[in-house]
Amino acid sequence: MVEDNPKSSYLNDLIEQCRSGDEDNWHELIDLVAPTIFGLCKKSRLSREESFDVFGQVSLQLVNTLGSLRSPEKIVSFVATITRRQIYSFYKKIQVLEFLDEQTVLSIADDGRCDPEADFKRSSQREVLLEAMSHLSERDFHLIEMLFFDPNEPAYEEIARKLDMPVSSVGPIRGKALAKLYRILRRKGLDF
Amino acid sequence: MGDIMDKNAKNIQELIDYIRGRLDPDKRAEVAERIGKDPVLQKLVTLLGGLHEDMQEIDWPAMKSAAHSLLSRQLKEKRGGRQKKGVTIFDSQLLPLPEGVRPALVDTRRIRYKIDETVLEVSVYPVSLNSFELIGRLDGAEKFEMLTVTTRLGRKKFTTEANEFGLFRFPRLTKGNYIMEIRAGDDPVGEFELEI
Repeated sequence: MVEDNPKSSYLNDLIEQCRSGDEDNWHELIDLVAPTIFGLCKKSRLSREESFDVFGQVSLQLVNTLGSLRSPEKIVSFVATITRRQIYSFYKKIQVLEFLDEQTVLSIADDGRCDPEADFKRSSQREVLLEAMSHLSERDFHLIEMLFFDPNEPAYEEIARKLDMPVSSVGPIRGKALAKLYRILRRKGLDF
Repeated sequence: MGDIMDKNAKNIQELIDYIRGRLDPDKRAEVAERIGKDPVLQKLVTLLGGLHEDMQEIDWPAMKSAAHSLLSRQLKEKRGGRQKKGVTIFDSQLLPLPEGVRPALVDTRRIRYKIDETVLEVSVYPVSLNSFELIGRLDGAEKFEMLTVTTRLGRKKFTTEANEFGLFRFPRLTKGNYIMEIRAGDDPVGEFELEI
């Protein structure tokens, strides 16, 4: 079963394809990690332009260093770490926070509005979810992705077209995919 | 497995509507009670709900096209593995306009490139519809001596010197695909592609 074998999971395959230079897969990977990048930027109260600047630095670093990532399921925390560093560099560059130590600035960069603990929890939860999703088959992974990652909330017709399946199958497969995710989380236990 | 996850289509739809915040208060309370009986399901709902909330908060649909265009450019510029090749990390032209703002016929543009740890920032100002002034600055220019910058467009070649702050200027460039080379004396510092 695909869900029991993380080595053959969608996320592993995706990262492997990116490492071999496949551009389409790179775009898929960016769709997965960009919300983490822009989410951290938003929490740090960066403007749209500043966030795009941070995104460009993070994506380049990802292109340069993806080969050294040992655990594909850790991609979210890997990207979050690079993003926090870039946000810190941004603050440092504009010299607003030059008199503060790095640790303090990092915690501010993490979150400009709510408490850092809540933000850390949210970031960890996203990582847990993606790690659990990495055990799903490619089809199930994309289905969950379209249901919950896509802010446009695509209609069944669009999901069916993108996943190349009959519209009537979307409902049942959606239920099975959620049930698989449920089982994966249950196996992991609730200590996350 | 909790009854809500019994693959019954209605239950699954209610679960998704719950996560998306689409249920009326009574229905929401009813579904919440069912979810509350199953700690694993509660966790799953928290994880998916958190993610869905994040996605609603960020400006990803507006930024998606810009992000993908920038990534494509980075992958293209990295291809071939040439030494001293600058990679674009920012281009204001890729950014979507704020809602309700009409595009200008010509606009100022800012581009940033990275090469190793050095950053080159270029601003392109419209002088007329077809000609532009280019002002650039190489970060950390103090590391280099005698910086010269050459822009090439086919056989046309323009060369200028950077000042001690790494600033340089080309007063009038026409539209085209330029290659910009920066040298410190005889040593290449970087090569950058610029489409004006």
